[in-house]
Amino acid sequence: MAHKITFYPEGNADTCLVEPENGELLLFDYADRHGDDEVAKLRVDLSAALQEKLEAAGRDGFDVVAFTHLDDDHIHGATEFFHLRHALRYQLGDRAEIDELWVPSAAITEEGLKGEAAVIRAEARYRLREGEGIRVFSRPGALKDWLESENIALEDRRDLITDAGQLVPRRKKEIDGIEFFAHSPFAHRQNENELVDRNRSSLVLQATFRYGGQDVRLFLSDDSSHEALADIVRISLYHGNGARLEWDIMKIAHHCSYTSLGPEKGAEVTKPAPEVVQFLESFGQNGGIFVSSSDPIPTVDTDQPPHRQAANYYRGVARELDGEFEVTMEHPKSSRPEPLVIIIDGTGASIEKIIPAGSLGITTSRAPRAGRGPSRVG
Amino acid sequence: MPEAPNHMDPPGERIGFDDLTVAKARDLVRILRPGNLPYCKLLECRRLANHHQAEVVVFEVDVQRGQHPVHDVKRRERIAAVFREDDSIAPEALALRQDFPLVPHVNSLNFTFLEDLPRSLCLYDEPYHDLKLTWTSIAFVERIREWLALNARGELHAEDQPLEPLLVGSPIPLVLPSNLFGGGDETPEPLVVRGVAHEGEVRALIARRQSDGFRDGLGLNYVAVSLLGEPQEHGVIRMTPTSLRELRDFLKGAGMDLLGELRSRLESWRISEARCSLMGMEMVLVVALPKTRDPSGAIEASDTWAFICQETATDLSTRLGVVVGSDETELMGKDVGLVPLNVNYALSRAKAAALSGTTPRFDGNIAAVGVGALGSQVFMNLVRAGYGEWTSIDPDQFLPHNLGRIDN
Repeated sequence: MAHKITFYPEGNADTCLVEPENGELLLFDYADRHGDDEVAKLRVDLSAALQEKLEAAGRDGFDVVAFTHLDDDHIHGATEFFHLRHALRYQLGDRAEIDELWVPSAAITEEGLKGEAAVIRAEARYRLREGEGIRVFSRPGALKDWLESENIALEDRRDLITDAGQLVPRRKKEIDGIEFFAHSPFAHRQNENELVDRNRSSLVLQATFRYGGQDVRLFLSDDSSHEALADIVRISLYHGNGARLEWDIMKIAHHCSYTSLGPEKGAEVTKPAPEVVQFLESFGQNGGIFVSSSDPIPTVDTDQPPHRQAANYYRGVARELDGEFEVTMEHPKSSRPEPLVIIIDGTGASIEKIIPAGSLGITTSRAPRAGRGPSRVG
Repeated sequence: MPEAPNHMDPPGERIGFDDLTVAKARDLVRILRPGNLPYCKLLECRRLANHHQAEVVVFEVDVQRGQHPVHDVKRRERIAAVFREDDSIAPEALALRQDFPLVPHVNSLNFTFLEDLPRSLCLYDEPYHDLKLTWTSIAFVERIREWLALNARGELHAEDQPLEPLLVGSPIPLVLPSNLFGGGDETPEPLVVRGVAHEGEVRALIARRQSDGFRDGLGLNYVAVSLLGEPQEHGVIRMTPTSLRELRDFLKGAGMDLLGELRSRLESWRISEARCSLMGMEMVLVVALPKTRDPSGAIEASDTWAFICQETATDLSTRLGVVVGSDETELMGKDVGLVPLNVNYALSRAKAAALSGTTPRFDGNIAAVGVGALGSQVFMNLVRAGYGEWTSIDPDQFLPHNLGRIDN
C-alpha cells in the first residue's frame, strides 16, 4: 500500500483527492467542469469518477471535504453531488456524504453570496450551529459576531475551529500516516481587511504523509496571491515553523497565474517576489513535483491564467530540483487528459505514468530470467 | 542543477522514418509518431549495413520514478531498439545514456557491438520463438518502461523469483561424478573426460573417475580441483571468465585469492608422493559460489561452475613460481585460457530418490525373480526412482516379443 493523491483535469479549476494509506478519502475542492462542448468534453466527468471511487472503496461518502474558498472554480457542481444536511432538496437521490466539512471562516461570515456558494455557506452554518461535522479555519475571534447572532457561545465551538499555525486535530502522521498544518486563513490579514477578500482568506494547508519513516509533503496553496504567499513565508519563519513550508508536491497557486509569483508577468519568465523564491526554491525538496491545475500552458501571451511566463519559472525550478512540472489538462497529453495520480511510497513521490487502457497490447509483468536475452550471451 | 545527460551515438547510419524496411521497426515508428502514445517520443532511425543487417529506432520514454530511486534510472531515458532484418532474435533495447548504471537484468554484452556498453536491457524470460507469437511494439515499449520503473525501485527482480546466476551461462554442460570431492574439498580428483558430439559438434562433456573410466577406454585425463567461495549477493550477472586472470578478478568478489590458492595446492601435490603424478595433467577447476538475496541474508542457493584450464599442473606451477619457491602473487607470462562449463552431477541413487520424491530412501537388497514384460517395468521404474539395491534373475533369452507393451 501507498498514499495516493489524484488531481482531476477540470480546466482552470481544482479538485484534489487524497487517499492516505489508512483508507480515508479526503477531498480538497470540487469543480465538475465537464461538459459537452469541444473544450469541456476534454475534462473529466468528476461526479462519475468520484462515484466510481466511492463504489470501489465501498463507501457512501468522504471523511473530509474541504472547500478552500467559495469561488466557482472550487465548488462547481458540488451542490448536485454532495448530500447536504441543511435542506431536504440536497438529500434526494444518490449523493455523497461529507463526514467533516472544512471551510475557511469566510464561508460562514461572508455576505452577498449567490448560487452554489450561498448553498455551501448555508450548509457550513447549519453544521456549525449543530456543532458537528465541521471544521472552520480562522482566528476564533473572527467567528465571534456570527456565533453571538446565533446565541452560541464561542467556547462551545472552540474545538471546531483551527487557527493558522496549528496542526489540524485528529490526524497525526505517526499514527494515521498523515497530518495537516493550517497556514491560512491567518488573522492579521482579516483584521486589516474590512472587506473580505476570498483569495486571501482562503484555506492553505500543508499535508505531511509518512511512509516507512520518511515524510513527503503536499502543499495545497490554493489561489493565493504572491502577497499572501509572502505573508505565509514570513509568518511561518517568524514562528519557527520553517519545516511547515517544506514541500515535495506543490499544487501551484491560482492555475499558474503570474500573480501568485510576483507583481510583474515578465517578458519570458516571471520574476517572483523574494519570499516566493525562498518558498519555492529553498523549501522545495529534491525531486519535487509541481502540479498546475489549469488549462494547457499557452505558447502566446494571455490575460487569463495559465501564464506561460509563470510556467517557465516553475519549469526552471523543477529542473533545479531534478523534479517535474505537470499541467492537469496536459497530462498525459492535452488531446486526452487523464487524472494525474501521484503515488507516495518508499521511493518518495512519483507521478503514475500508465498508458491508458485501450492502447495496450499484451505485456508480461514478470521480470525476465537472465541469461536468455536477445544475444546468446544475454 | 543536475547536468543534462550525455548519450552515446546509436549504432548505424541515419535514415528517414519512411526508409525503414523491417516490419517491426516500421510498426514501432508508427505507434511512436506524435499524438499516438503518451510517455514516448520518437527521435530517429538508423540502418546497420554491416553483417548484422538490422534497423534501429531511437526514442525516449518517460519512466515512473520516485524522488529517491534505488538505482539511478532517470525519469526520461533514451533507447535504441535494434531489429534484425531476418527477425532471428528478439528486438534488442539499448540504453543510450552514457552513465546508465549497471543494474540487475542487464545483458552482459549487447548483441550489436558485443560490448557491455551501451547497456542492453534483458526484457524477456521467454525464448524468442515463443515470444514472437505475441510480440507487439506497444507491449515492447511498455515492457521497456516497466523494466526501467521497476529497476529504479530496485524491484525488477521479484521476491519470489529464483536468484540470478552470478555468471552468464556456458552452453556446454559437464557431467561430473555424483560424489566428486567426497574425500574433502582439498583432495584432487583424477578424471577421464570425453565429449558427446552430435553432427560433429561437441554438445556435452562427461567426466568419470579414472578408477571407473569408460568401457572403451577412450577419454582425456584431467585432474579436478574444488574451490569454494564466500557467500555473495546475487544481482548483476557478470561475463563468464575465459582466462585465469579474469577468473581471479571475478573470484575476488567471492573473497577468494585464486592464484594463491592454486599455488598452495600445487605446492602440496609436488611434494606428495601420491599426488606428484597429477602434475602432468591439465586441470578442471570446479568453483562453488554460495549466493544470498541481500547483504545480510542467508545462503539461498549456490552456483557451481567448472573451468578447463588449458595448461598442465606442472606448467602452471612454473608460471606461479611454485618450482622456484617464489611467493610471486602474479601469474608470470601470458594469460592462461579457460573453457567455462555448466556443471551437472551424474545421477546417483540418492539424487534419483530425491528427484522422484521417494523419501525416506530404501537401500535394502531386492531380488527380482523374472524380468519379463511386467517385471522389467517394475524393476526399471524402481531403479530409476533410486529405490533399493537390485539383483534381477531371469534365465530367459531376450526376444522381440519382450519389447511389446500395452500401456493401460
